[in-house]
Amino acid sequence: MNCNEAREILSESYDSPVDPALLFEAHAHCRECASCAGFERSWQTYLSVGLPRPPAGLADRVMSAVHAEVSASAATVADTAADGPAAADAAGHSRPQSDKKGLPLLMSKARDPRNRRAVATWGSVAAALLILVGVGGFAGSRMILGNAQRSDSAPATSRTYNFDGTTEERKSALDMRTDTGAAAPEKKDTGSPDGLKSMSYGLKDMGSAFSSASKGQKAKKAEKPDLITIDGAVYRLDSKVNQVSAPDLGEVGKTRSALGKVGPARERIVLGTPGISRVYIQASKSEVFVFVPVARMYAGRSYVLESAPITRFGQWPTLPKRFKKPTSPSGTPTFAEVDADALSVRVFSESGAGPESGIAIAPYPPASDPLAGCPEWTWWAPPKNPQ
Amino acid sequence: MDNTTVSAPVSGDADLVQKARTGDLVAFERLVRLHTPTVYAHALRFFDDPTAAEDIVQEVFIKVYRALGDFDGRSRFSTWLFRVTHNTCLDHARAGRRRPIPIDPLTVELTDPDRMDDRTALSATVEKALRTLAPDDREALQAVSIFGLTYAEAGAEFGVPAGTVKSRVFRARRALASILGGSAGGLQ
Repeated sequence: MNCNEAREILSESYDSPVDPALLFEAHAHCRECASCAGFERSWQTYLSVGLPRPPAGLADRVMSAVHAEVSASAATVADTAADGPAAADAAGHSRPQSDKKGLPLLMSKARDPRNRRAVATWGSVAAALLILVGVGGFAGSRMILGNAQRSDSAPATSRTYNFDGTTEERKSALDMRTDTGAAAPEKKDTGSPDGLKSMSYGLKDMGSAFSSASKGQKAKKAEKPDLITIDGAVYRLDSKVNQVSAPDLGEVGKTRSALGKVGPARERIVLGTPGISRVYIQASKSEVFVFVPVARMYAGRSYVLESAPITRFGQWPTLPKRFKKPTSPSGTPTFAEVDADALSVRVFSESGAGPESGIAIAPYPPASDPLAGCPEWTWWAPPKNPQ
Repeated sequence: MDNTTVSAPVSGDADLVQKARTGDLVAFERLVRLHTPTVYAHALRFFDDPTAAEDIVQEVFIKVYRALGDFDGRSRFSTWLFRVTHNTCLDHARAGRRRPIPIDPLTVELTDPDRMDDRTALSATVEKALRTLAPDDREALQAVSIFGLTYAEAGAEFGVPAGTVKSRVFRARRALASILGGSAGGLQ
């Protein structure tokens, strides 16, 4: 057996059963051949390294998007008539946006009386997430971050909102980068409207509440997060870009914050776009800060962090003013422990109420928590109803 | 780079899929958590862009969720998941939304042999090495080694004979061995 034959047999053996006699011969060859032994060793190295680890909370963001999908389907049950061969669609490529045969499972689920309540419940939660940042009030479609890392399918031109109220039409940086003859992409058929997708970005920090750390463990050297509050909801600084370009980007709220600067907090305009949970604040003439909501999952529900006003980066969130700060580790008298989640993070609800109305998390959640090391009690509320 | 272990096909997929088809979101969430690392790894190695990989993961599972009702179970879930993942990556690349970034093998900085026990450095080298592979070879290796497809299944996905997949996988492993320094010598 020569080297090539030995390696071919070894390679095949990694994937499927091979003739034991041939495999024995290949191994015998490796014992005599340093080069082939190296081939075998290199594969073991590859296996030992493993897969690149996905970012914390990615699966949670996916599930939030799925919940929003359920919501979207519930909202369109009445006027969607046809089920379709979606499996082939999913495995295939993008469908025209106008094709309405996209949600057979969801449609059938929603039609099934056994599932209607669940669909409606998830619908309200997830749909509320979509407008979490209070982006109601204007219509729009796409958003492109000029120099941001994230990008979506981009229109051929986009409008740059200059934060001073002026706008300019321009070809986006993304377009310039990718304009190599490919047609401008149609809006992709992900089954997720823009808001759905971006909502999940907004939940970037969620889900890591699941932790194996011991209860009440203080996170060591917890880094104080860069947070702001908008209408009581807490947002975390996600990235910094040079500009934001988008059709229909508009004001979605205000916040009072010094951001990361020394000096007094001042009121700042918060910009956003419909259905997108990411929001933007002009931090300087050349810098735009991108924020995403801080959220978590518990018992299959999404919750967003609420806080008394946070006026500068590095401030920890605190309980909204309507809550009296607990006087004991057990949460009394304000909260009562509900249980721990799957990974031992203690979950509390308001005394006399269930977790449906919101949950509290004790100080110093563990390292994988969205708010690791926070020395304060925090309150996480279901997303507000979309009305 | 922090890493998880290489995933193997999950025997419980069929049960979870069956439950998810009836609207069991907990079962679907279990599928998502089981397979997110695999989909993420594939997309990351396709685009060399963590942000793109996150987007792909989300898009893939939304597509899967939407289509679960029509998944007939004749193929394994992992095979179907690979198909959705692969096609989603191709869609993004074709539309110009993402661009695969090949690496010239000559530019790959190999891990210093003295640091081969440094998992972070080693992991980075492995990832770089994977990106130097010819796309067809890398895709075949991914399909077989992380999604657990058989040569025949992968061949059906790529539209080539099983033997071609086997050859591509072998070429990929041989190239990896060369880059990782495990097979510096020539053939006997």
